[in-house]
Amino acid sequence: MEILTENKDDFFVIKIVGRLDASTSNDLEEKVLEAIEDNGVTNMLINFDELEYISSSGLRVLLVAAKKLKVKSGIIKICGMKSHIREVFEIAGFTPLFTIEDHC
Amino acid sequence: MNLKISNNLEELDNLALFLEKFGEKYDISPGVIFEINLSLDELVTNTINYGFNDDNDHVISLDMILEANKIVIELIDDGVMFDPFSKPDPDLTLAVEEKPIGGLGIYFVKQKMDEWSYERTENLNIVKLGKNIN
Repeated sequence: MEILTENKDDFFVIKIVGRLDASTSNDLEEKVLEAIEDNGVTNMLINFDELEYISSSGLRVLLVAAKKLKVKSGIIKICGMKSHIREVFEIAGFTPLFTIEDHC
Repeated sequence: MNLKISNNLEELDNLALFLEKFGEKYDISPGVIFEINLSLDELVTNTINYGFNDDNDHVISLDMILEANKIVIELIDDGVMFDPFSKPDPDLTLAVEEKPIGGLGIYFVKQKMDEWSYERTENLNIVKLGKNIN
């Protein structure tokens, strides 16, 4: 898995490339916590264009981010979700927690 | 087909590669392979994270066969006794503030597989799964 970050418009953008599972989710968690807690990010856009796989370990990190941004009245958006990943979000009841956009 | 992995999360990549090969060999759709990958990932991750009380290397063994209209899966480890299916399903309706962290993995297994069972035999945890295919 690879994580690319940039600041674009009013959002901190995190692009995740590859597979997000228990062996890689800690790297994402570090990036997310650094952004929110150290750098004061309130608006986050997570780019799933090149995310091929997600497990509950990946969802866990996204839930942590959503909880922290909710407290700050921030925004968390996810774009470019492939259909099999969207299905995981739906089974988990996660779709209402995020603003989901088809295209990035 | 059989795969043996050690109790190390980096083995999840080998699990994924193995399932891809199984899919190619038996002409199983990528969607079904994804669902099996997710289910086995969740079970194996739990076992690696919580199943062993020592620092030793352990082997987790996976057997998969294709029957007439069903993929039959057996996952065996020598970790502490744990029935992954014993917990109640999570409440998915909670708002973000109340949603607990974790607890979704085994729920995914139950959603994606058609059959699941657990047995303890001597010092082994044996999880059996069945996935119907068309």
